[in-house]
Amino acid sequence: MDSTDGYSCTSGFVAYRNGTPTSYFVLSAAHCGPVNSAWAQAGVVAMGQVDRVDLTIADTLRIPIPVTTKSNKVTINYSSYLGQGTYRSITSAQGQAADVVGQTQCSSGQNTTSLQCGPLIATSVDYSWTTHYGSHAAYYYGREVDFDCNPGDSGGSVLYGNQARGIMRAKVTRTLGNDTCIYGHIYDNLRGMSMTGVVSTA
Amino acid sequence: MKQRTVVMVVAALVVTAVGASVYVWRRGAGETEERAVPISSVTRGKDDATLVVRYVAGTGGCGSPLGVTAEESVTSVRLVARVRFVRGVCPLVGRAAQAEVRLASPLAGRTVIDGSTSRRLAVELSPANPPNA
Repeated sequence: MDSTDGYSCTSGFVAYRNGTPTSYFVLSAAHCGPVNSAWAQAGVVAMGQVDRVDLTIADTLRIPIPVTTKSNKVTINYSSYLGQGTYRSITSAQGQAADVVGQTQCSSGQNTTSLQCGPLIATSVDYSWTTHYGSHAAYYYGREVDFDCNPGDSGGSVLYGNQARGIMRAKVTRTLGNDTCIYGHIYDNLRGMSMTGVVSTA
Repeated sequence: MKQRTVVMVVAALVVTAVGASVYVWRRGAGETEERAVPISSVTRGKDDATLVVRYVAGTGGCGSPLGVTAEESVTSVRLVARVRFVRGVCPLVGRAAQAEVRLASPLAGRTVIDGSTSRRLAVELSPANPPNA
């Protein structure tokens, strides 16, 4: 997804909040853009404006969407070159602290051409930075996973099989190309946005 | 008394400088790594020996664009888009980047390959620069 001011990230899971009526949101990473930033799919199909960000544990933003566009599908194997990808249906979300080191996680972002999978190597990575829009962010409990990622992948879905597991945040650049990636756990993503759950039915 | 104060200030500065150096050394701050990233599109430039390459780079020290290189053979052109990362943790926000690549000889139907993915790329024709323009 692309912002009107020239930044790109990846749209993640669709989440919902119970209420009257139930409301739906696309989730992505909070450091991608501030409240009121406007985003479009592939730079052309308008998605809407961010109405809430959380720059702490969750590193999550949400974009309200109409109920008619809700979906339990996430894009994997997206190719910016082809402008298309394949889809996977999400049927559940991993519970709080249900992840363990060694567990396999997968992700696919806007700028990573294939589904990347690797083992979870840490569950409590802390770090901070200043976002491109000038907000200081301090993150805790980042999940570090051993696969690679590229600029533009922030906000992408982290999953295993049909289970939602988190939202991509960061790259850890090391010598000799032994780079890793950091994502936030889906429980923290949902809690930070006051969501009830991810959409898990078609 | 004055001389003693000067000595203490100098000592404090030395200790601070050594401490900062150790911190920087341990953190590896400022050290960078280059990485290849996927190419989004390739368009024919002003002639058949010029390609306009688009790719997604990053922001700040997290994927600043370095440009695109070409390795040519008789049958193919391998393009590699490179970005620079400061070592450590950084956010994966993207910014569109573009580079013009001048080939040693006209493309003339050679296969174009993305060096980061080994995928074959189609060269799009720019409306402003049709074939044989």
